[in-house]
Amino acid sequence: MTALATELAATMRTPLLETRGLSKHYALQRSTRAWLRREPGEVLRAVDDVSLAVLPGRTLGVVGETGSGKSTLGRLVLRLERPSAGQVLLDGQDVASGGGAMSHRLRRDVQVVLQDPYTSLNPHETVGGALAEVLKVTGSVPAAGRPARVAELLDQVGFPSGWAGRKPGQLSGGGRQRVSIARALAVGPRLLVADEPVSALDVSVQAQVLNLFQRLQSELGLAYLFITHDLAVLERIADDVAVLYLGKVVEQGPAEALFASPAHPYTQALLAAAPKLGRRRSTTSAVAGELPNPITPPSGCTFHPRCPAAMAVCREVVPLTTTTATGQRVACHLYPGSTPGTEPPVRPPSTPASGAAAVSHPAPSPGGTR
Amino acid sequence: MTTLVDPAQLGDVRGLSRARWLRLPLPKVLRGRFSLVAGIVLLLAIAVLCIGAPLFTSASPLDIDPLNPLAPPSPEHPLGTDAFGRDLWARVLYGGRYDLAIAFGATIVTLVVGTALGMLAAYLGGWVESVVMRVVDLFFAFPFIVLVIAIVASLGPSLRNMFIALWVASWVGYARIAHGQTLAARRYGYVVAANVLGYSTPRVLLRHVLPSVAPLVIVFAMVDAVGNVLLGASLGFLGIGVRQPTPEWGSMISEGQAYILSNWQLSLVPGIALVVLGVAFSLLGDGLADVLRAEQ
Repeated sequence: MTALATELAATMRTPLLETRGLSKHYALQRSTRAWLRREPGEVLRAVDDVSLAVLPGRTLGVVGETGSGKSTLGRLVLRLERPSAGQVLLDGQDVASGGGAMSHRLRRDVQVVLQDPYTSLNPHETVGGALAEVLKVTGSVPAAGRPARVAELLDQVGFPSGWAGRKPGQLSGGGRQRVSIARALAVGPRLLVADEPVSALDVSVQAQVLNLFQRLQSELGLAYLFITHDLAVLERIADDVAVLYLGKVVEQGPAEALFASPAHPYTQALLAAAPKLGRRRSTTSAVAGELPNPITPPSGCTFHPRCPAAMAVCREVVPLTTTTATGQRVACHLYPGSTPGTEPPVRPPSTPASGAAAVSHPAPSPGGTR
Repeated sequence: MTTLVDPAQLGDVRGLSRARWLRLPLPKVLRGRFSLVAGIVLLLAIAVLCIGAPLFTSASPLDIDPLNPLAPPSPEHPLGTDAFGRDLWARVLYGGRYDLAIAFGATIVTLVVGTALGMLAAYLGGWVESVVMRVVDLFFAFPFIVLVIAIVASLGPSLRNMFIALWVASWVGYARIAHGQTLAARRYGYVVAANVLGYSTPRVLLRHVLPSVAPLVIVFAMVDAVGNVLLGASLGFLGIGVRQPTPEWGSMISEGQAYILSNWQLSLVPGIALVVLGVAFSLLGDGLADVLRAEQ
């Protein structure tokens, strides 16, 4: 009994899935001249030193603009891509080092739901056929029990099991997404990586599918890595949120704290830009400018060219991650502890100034940039 | 948020779909598809006439009648005779066997091999892709007919060597099409999901990638079949394909050209046969493309 209790406590503490310093760098093709001159090739840092944790039965939301690396992060976690550096840990074990048995476990424990409902299902397979195929290949259910299990899975996602003979072409976007979820559930996973699963759906259908995600979480104890560009979706479903900018986590923390008092200027800008009921939309874009070219990212803090609170130090020094009073981990020079203690010589002696800025310049409120 | 419609209540709709499901697919596939039906009927007609040639003529395509050269149509020779007194109708019927053999034999092999190599190259990537696709580029660098002639010339002219030359030279088209479509299909959600579910490579390729590749290569194969027949005819014309006295439509056209002013039917009849075979394959290709598109 006590052994079980300690084991339980241990599983609660150990993240189901963890990334440690996970990076994916793509080497770009060099011109022949650059190659002849032996110039170093350009590198695209799609995901750069990302450390996240998904706890069992909880939802980690990952938010970022197009090109922020959030989908690449999902592909790394699913091992559809090999990381350039860092690790993906499942129950504290590195999925790369375990060999065949480990990848088998990963395939059983971690499944995916993708964005586009129109390509997420094989148009040539019936709904029931696609689910039966999963059961057959994974060998989890004997042939005789498969129809019943298929019906059960469809029930679970609120899809009429009488429609099992239909092909995806006969279904709506929401219906297809339900079937995609059922297919992922067929192997009995503990974590779903959901890459923009509701972005292509109508708002009313979005709400239904989000309800489904929440219901499945409470019924099956699923954990989600929920990737989206839509903060409103995360506010509703996420327990923890990580904000990605140019492949880096600029802020992460409990969803409640992050939405109540966003620490990073980028998070603040995103929140200000998100449409909200009962609040007039600001006419000016809250995040000025566009995402810079990720091949030649800005120096220092990569957000500084668009940051309303940018200081001299931001141009030169990459901020470290520090913890705010409200519990978020943030990488921004506005917060004490983010600026490295041992300064490079190029930096002017402005530590007191920047320190003062952090104190006297409270992070602008979500509406403050108007 | 209320549930919009409870689909379980739509019992009627469900019954309807099940009934449609049970209906035999064949007549439904053919219904309202003129090209497909016309293509199949034409091709079947040609096949019956050529393979069942002895049923439609009692004359031999090879028997020479020196006393009766270039005879006009008559009861015993419905289309007349050629310069050696051979029955033209019999030669057209028996000759079609070779053209059909070229159309199917040369095309099916390259369809299967080329598609398989292209799909594997795109799916496996890495050095496999580099090697296969560079070889494809290499073959594309040569004019197709010149390549075929070169291969036949180096192996020696014969029907078998002509097949070998066609196989070697024309798989690359299929490989390139299959490669491109497989690259696209790898990004489809259901292929990614199949990978995440841990499906084996053969299963992913055959059950999930092939259905989106097949329509493209099958339609291309129909065009290619016509091309192969014409190429076989061209090689016959050049004297390195089907050789005298074996009848084959292409070589018959070239033999007939000497008498084009007096006995024009010697070239015209095999020419029409060739055109009809080409039209049959084109209609079939169009019809299949329609069906396969509707499947998506």
